[in-house]
Amino acid sequence: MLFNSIEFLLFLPIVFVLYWFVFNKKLKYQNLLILISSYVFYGWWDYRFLSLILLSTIVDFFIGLSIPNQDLEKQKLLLWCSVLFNLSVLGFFKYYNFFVDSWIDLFSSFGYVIKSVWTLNIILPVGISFYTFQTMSYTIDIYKGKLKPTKDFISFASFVSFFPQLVAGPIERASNLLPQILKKRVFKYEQGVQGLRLILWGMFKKVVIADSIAPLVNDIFGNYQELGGGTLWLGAIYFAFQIYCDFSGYSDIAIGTSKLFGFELMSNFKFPYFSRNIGEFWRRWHISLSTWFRDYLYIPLGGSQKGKWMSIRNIFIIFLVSGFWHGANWNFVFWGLFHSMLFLPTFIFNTNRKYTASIIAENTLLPKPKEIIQIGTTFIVVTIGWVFFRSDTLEDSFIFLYKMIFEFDINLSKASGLLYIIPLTTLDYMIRTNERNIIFTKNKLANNSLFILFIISIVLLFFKETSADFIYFQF
Amino acid sequence: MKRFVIKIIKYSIVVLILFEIVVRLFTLTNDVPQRDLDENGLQVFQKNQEGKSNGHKWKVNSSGFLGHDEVKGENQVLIIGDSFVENIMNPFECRQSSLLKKNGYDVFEIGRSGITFIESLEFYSKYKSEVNPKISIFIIDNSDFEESIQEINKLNDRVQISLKTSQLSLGKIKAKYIKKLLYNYKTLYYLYLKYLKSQKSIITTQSIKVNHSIKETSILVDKLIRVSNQNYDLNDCLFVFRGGNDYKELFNQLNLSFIELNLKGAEYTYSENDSHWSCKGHQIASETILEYIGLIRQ
Repeated sequence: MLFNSIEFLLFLPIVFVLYWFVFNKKLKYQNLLILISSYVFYGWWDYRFLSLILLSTIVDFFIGLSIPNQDLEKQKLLLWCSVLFNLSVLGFFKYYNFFVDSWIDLFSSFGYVIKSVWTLNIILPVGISFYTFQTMSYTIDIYKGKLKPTKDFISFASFVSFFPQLVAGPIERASNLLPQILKKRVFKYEQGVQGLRLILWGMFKKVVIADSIAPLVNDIFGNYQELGGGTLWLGAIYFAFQIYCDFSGYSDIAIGTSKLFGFELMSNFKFPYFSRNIGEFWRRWHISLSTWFRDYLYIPLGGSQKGKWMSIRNIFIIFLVSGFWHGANWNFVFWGLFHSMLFLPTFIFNTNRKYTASIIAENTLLPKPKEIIQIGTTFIVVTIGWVFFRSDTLEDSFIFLYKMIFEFDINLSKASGLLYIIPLTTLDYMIRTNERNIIFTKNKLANNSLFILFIISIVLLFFKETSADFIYFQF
Repeated sequence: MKRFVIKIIKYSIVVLILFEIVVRLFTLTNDVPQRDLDENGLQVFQKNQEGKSNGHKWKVNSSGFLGHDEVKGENQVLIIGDSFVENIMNPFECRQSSLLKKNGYDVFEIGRSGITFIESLEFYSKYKSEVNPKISIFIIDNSDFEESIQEINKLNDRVQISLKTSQLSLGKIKAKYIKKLLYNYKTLYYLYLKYLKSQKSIITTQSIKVNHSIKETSILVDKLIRVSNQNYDLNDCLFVFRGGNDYKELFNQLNLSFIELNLKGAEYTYSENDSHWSCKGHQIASETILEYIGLIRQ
């Protein structure tokens, strides 16, 4: 089920009413409702793949239960079983064909022609990259002694399949979400209102901005060979905003929906395009994934504790893996590599931890000129990176970039996307200090009017004749 | 919780009112004429309704249709057909009745979307003596025959004939009150239309599909045309096929006049998603018809 579908618009109020008015007597019933609703939500897309979530849930539930009672060696073995199981599932469904094809290409380059008999027609289960990471974090945290395993299977299954964030995150940690599932929720007015605001803001970003820019992006990237560099810049900028609005919109709806049910999910985006350097960008973009890699890959590899060169190696690895996580495609790998090249200099010169706590113009109306230049520069390099992400092949990416740099023609008829980007950036700037409670202005009437305007524009653009899936569903 | 629910209700009311204003102000939906049953149980539009469709004004005449309803005797023509004759999407001057009138004909036009072949014959039978046309023109398609036959596909809201019992069954106006609500409350209608479009659906009537082979279907249509020829006086009738006529041999055998328009391609159709004729399509259709009836007059 998509958030931007009529089915979800009916599904959400039904589950909300059942949750707070019918199943509210006991925590057990509420959790059971969450589990059933989550399976309905996922099964709406393809019920066959529910078995995969169930299997993953069962395996990690029992491994999680067994770990604390074993000696260290067996604990390690059990952990490896969990990690290998989850990575095998992910590897088979997401990367199997990629590896087979890459081997064939490699042999072909040496003159050996191999027939592609091993390539399978595999459907990528929606959200697999998200929920496998979530279940893995559970067993790893138990192994590290950070978390006690739960004996309540329904609660654990609800944690794995929690419908607001099941298919595209935020990738929740068991240590954050599971205790909330195990504790009785009480409806809070403020939390409910914040949730609704986030849902509307997320829907606005997805339905009004991302889906309206999408045809322009498709047009420019599809016909880049006939277009001038100026127009290609527009295409790259449009894609930067499309993917931001699409993905952060999804996260906002997920966080907002969770709030309606009394849950607080972690933030996934904190206005990344207002970042002053690439280090800040990565603390503000897809936070749940970058912190996952930090905690479960970078730190276990030694983090920054084993000297500069090892740290550089570790950073390089997490960017590469992060790119690969997005999909079985060399473009994503190169995108990760590109970002590691941007990040490493800031790490070497110790500027990557700059701006960890602040946001631009925190107590002023406008940022300083220096900050504007920093934001502009960061945005430009990030946008160049998106070209690798969006192009069909690496070759396309390089030609696209070459034209962006060396050709200057611009087709102004393609500039209409700016009409979406400018208001979006202005609105984003107005709420830059708090991504979890969307208040554009202290004037209540003006704020409410803006939300009413959002609703009207969402309704006007809600039904699409073409597919309007979320981009991150494919990951 | 009470406060939260009240807030949602308050917001919803404000949004619904504002959205209704937006939909009406920017004419985001077309007006659709509502229907009634006439004394014979045939569906006609409620008289004297007015509205706008795609920016063009329409008005239902005193006979319950959208076009000319002139009865003068000299050069009198009767035109009957479905949505192509109803032609709500084009300006009034693009109607077949307007185009024929320009060429000196007096025209009585019966156009209503969803009309079946047998229903158009029922209208013909009803108006023939009143209008007294020199020629009656039926603008049809092969599917109109099939939709007329209950044994092929039972459609509750269309006039059909059972070829087994030779009984006519009249079409019901379905969900009359829901339609009334949808047409008057524009927000709902707008959302309904957008939803249908997004689902790439078309408004279909509840039907019980009967699996018939092409051969069986042709046998049934053959019987329908023969029965119609016996029961209705089709001597002064011209059947204008929008596409090709799949039953040419039978028409020739029964001495029924027909022409084939075969108007295909974007230049004749209304839009990419609407295969009704544009003004240009109507113009070409009218010229072909005029050429034919001109020949008869000579």
